[in-house]
Amino acid sequence: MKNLDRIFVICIIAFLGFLSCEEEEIDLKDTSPYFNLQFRHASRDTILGDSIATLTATVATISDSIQYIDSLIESGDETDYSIIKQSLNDERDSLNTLSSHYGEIRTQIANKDVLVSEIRGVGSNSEPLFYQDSAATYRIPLNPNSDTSMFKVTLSVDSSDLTFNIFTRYTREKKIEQRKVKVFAYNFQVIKKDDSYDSLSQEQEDSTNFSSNDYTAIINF
Amino acid sequence: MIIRLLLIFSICSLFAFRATAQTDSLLVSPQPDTMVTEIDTIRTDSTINASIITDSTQQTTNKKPEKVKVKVKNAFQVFIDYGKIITLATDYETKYEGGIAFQMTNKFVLVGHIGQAELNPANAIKNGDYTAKGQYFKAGINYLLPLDNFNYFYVGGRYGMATYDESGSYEVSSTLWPSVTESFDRSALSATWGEVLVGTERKLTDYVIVGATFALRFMIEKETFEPVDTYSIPGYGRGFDNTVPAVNLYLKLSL
Repeated sequence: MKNLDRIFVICIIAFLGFLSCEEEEIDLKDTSPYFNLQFRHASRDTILGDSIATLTATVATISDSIQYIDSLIESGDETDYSIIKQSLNDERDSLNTLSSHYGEIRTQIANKDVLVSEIRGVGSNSEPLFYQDSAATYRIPLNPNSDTSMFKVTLSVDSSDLTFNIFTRYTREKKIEQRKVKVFAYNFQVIKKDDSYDSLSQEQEDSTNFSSNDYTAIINF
Repeated sequence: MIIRLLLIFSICSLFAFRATAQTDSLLVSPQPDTMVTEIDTIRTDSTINASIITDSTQQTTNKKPEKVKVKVKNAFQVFIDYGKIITLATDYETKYEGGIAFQMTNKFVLVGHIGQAELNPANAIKNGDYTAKGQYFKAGINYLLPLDNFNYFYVGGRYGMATYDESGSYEVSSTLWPSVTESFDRSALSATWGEVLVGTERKLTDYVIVGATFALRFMIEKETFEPVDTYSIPGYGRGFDNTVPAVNLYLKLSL
């Protein structure tokens, strides 16, 4: 016990020595502003909804026809309906399969999952961002050197590419947060400048500074 | 690295030496200056008790413990903060501090400190670097509360002032856009603060004293900056805190 204070001080010195050998790496993560981007294939959803309704009606008609043939057979009609009945059953199965497929696509649209294949910063010499997996929300980095950023976003839909032009405007502010100097984008707006998409919806959680980091733009196409 | 290890070894040796000296001081009989010449405070001297208990004659063990009167002498003292020398072993700060004190018989001690520091705190800017460099001085007073002729407690206050320069840089990185790199360089900055402190001292010999202080520092005035405010102030500590705790370890020579 008598030596406890000496052991304590020696431990502190050893710890300081250990710390001095540790190299601190610069942490650049999450230092620039961004906004969140989602896509909603609204027109496609409407078309699919109409198609599913038509298919459901057709399946109902076919089912009625099959039911009518069955009633004829039960009432003593000796005509051979087997080929017609088989054909109707096949047709009904085929339409049900198609309707399910359309339903799955609608679910995917409802989940907002899309595959953005490329995001390019207009006016930037940096490499564009490429993605392999679909996602509901994409985090789009804003230009920390400018009060505007423009993007060309390419979406892969059914093996074809759709490109949207997205224009943003904001006010930059540098702040230190958790001992990192960060650039924030306040008074953030997405401005629709062309007809590359149908309409724009937006969700802003920051009602004071209108920070881009709390903003979600929903592109309807 | 070798220099650091040598330094750590030498500091450890200093502690070992100090420990030996402490052990020796427990064995020696009371020294002349502990004799009563002036009535200040009456306390029990633990060293004397120890020597009574270990007395082989066992004649005085049943006696009532002898009361020793503590004398505080006038003394001019110089000290160094050996706790700060430990910082030489680190990459993130280099600090030196020393000072003078004048101890008076009325138990008041006038104290002045002077120091220099170069601070490179690793976490000041995580996406960059930061350096503060400067000098400081502190002046104040202690009031001694002696336990016996070898051990003192004290309370005190200080006024501190630092002049310093600071510089740094940071990088804001983007995965899609060019990064932003900026730097700052500020010179001839100043800060003032006050301290309240409690401390303890132990006489190793008539001339050598070791001590430790716990202080609370209160910022009085400093300049502020955006976006990166002053992180470290020489002599004060973390500049963005208005109250900072501090511990100092020192070795004092009484002349």
